[in-house]
Amino acid sequence: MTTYGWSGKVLRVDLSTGRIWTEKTLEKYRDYLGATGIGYKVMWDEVPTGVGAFDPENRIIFGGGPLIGTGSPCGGRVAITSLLPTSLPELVGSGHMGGHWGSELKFAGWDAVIIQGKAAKPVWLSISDDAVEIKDARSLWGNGIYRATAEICAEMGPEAQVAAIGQAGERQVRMACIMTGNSHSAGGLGGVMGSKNLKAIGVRGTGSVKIAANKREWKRLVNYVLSLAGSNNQWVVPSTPQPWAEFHAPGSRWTARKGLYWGAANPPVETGTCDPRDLNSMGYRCQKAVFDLGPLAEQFTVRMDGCHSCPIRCHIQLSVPSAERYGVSRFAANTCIGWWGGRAIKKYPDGPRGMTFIEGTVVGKHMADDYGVWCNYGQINRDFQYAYESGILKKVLSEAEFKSIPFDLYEKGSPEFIKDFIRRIAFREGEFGFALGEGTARVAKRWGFGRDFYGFEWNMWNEKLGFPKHHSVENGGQVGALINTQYNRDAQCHSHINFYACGLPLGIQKRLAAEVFGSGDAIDAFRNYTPMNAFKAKFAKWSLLRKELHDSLPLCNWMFPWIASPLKERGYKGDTTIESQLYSAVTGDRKSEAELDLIAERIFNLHRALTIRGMKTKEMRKEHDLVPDWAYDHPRDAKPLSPGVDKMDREDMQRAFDLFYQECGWDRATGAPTGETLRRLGLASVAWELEKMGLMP
Amino acid sequence: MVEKAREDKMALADQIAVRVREDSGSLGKLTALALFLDEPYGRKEEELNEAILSFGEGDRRDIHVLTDANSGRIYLYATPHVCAAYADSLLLAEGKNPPAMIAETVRRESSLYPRPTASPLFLLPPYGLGEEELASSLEKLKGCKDFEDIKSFEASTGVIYLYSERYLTLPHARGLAEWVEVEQFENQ
Repeated sequence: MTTYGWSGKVLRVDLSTGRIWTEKTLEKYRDYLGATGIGYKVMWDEVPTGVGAFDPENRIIFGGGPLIGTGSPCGGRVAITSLLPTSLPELVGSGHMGGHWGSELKFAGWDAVIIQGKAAKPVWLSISDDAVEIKDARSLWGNGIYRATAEICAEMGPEAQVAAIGQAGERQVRMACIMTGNSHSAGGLGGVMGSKNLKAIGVRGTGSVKIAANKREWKRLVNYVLSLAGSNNQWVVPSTPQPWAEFHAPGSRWTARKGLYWGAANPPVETGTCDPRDLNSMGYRCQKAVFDLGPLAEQFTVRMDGCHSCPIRCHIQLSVPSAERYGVSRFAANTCIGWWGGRAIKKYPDGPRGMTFIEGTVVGKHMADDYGVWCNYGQINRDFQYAYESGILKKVLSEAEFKSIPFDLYEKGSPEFIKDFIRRIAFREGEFGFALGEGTARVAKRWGFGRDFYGFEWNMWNEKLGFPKHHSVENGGQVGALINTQYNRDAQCHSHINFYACGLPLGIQKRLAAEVFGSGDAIDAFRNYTPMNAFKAKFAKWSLLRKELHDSLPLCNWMFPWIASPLKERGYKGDTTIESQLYSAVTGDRKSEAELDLIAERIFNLHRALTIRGMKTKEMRKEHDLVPDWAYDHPRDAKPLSPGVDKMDREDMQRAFDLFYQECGWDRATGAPTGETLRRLGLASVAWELEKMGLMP
Repeated sequence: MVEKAREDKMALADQIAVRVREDSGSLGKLTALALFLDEPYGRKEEELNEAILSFGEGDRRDIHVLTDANSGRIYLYATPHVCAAYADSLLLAEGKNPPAMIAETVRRESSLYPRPTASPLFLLPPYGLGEEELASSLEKLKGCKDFEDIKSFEASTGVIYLYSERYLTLPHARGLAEWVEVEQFENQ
């Protein structure tokens, strides 16, 4: 029988024994869709409390879902699930990478790869369609990701896709990432691969993914979806006035305009006006170099790039010849926080978006992406800068080590400093490299960071678990705050920001919000927040469920969901049923929006249950769902919930938790899912196990 | 005779529509009706006034007419190449009164989105002011009673922002400007 969407097989590998076997995807994981859904299910069933992130018993699960490899727009992402080495304690979490690896895995006939155990010596996993082999990686071990990728492609063929770790992951640096395609990274889990002596997974697939819908239906659906797409993060208006556009917004990532080029293309390519009805110009909308790196970067932009079957193209391909004087290639690609290395330096001699910053960004990209160092959403730079500026470094490092670090280059704003900084972390050099590589929670304890580190300036959100804010109060007030309390790393949730910052006038946003959440009161004017209400609680829950849905289908949560669209003729309405339309067309299993949201809720609650079990407490409200003091106290001289600030009110935020937990079907006092909720979601066995452990409210 | 006159009127309307679509589509600009008084068109004002009556309907429903209230000049544009809001901005720019254009635009942005307006916006199309003209216009705004609701401040990056205090307070405007100028790049 033909399986549509899914390939039907999950690959299992035990590196301790060398055993390789297959599971049937739909038999075991159908109720969990794919990717994080499969990941959380495996972690619940197979990784008991007490197992550490670097223990052989830990699992690391790579996967897409039914949509990956089908050509679904923005459907090329992969989630990698495991215990997070950086969180304290080590709790479940996911890293996400784009590129082409996940699609290639599907073409090879696999929905997911689950790795357990630990190889006796360095190995890499070769997946060539059905041929799966654990190969000797001793010649690759010690090399960076670029070299490892090139060597594996030399062996498997240029079409192979590789997910690899660098020297940081090999050394079980907690702040290590997994990279694919030289610019797509999954944060925090490189050390887990390293702990298993697994250097890389190379994939080559020659098959295809079967789609249930007929060609005409599929083409019509894909064109419909494309017609509603905006630019990166679903900005649906351009950043500057355009003749076709009724609205514009200066913060928009739809930066295309006449006179703005991919300046390093030969000949230069003008991005142009990009009328949304012209789907062929969609790939020009997001000239992201000028957004990420400033106006100077236009001249160094070769083109925009992106993941498999993504029309949005948010990855920037740069050519910066002057970066070569720092001993790195002029060619560099990445996007958003992926450029974090350049911000290791706080002040550049020619300003925050000058030429030295661009060079530093290229240097930082190569160091981080070759050594495979993660940034904890930029926090690693702030950890270092705080320790340096507060004088802590001088106290915790030996005099010899302190003198060996080129702080003079840091003060001068020289990109040379970045090379030294990232290398020390990747190779765990000295106390400096070791401690910063441990991640924020651990380095803050080890070096005795003061209370001031948890103030607004340093961005920390959850000091216990050690992660920073990520679209928190600054993007939606209470909605962003609630979202930031739910994960064990920075919240990789963009569902709210993809609507909140779509660029439309507030009146239109309120009309659209009312259609989805029952009232326009679900959304406030930017930086003018009103007290909490039940509609905001719905918005927060919906955002989280869609994030899990997107990670499991997959669809890119840096684009979806689409409450808004760029089309005036639709009243700028998007379509929140796109996910179910794509899923139904691909798999032939017709599911409504509500039915898919229910699966997403199951996945989200399973993550919650894993967190409760991992923390060994049901007291989520007190112990896990923390809002930092600065969210209530900054700025000091402004009233909470007053225009122009993101300052929350303590009592109001408690009401926000009450309403949110109620919306989720969780116990108000503890923030833990009730037995009734877990059973409603088909998680009766989870409820039973939590009950047995005394972890039910 | 009547039939021929009607055909001639239609031919003129089509001729105008073709030119308007070209101007809107490739240049994103308004077409002044007065253009058709000159060669190579050489039409009379009455003919033109009659021809534009057919715009906004039938085959020419994409062609729209705008009148500058101050000069009485008539302009045309074609949707969807140029939308109504952009046409309004083009008309403001045609008014050759930069302080009024700035104030009108700032009021619209302050009330609609709501947000303050970064002054460099007026260096871009459809406004197209030069640096000096922008600076002198901002000065003129300060002393004029008609624009007393328009206020300005400097963001931490040095960029001058404008807002209408009818719709925004200074703290709100400042907070929004800082997000666009600085914080959004630190919160990707």
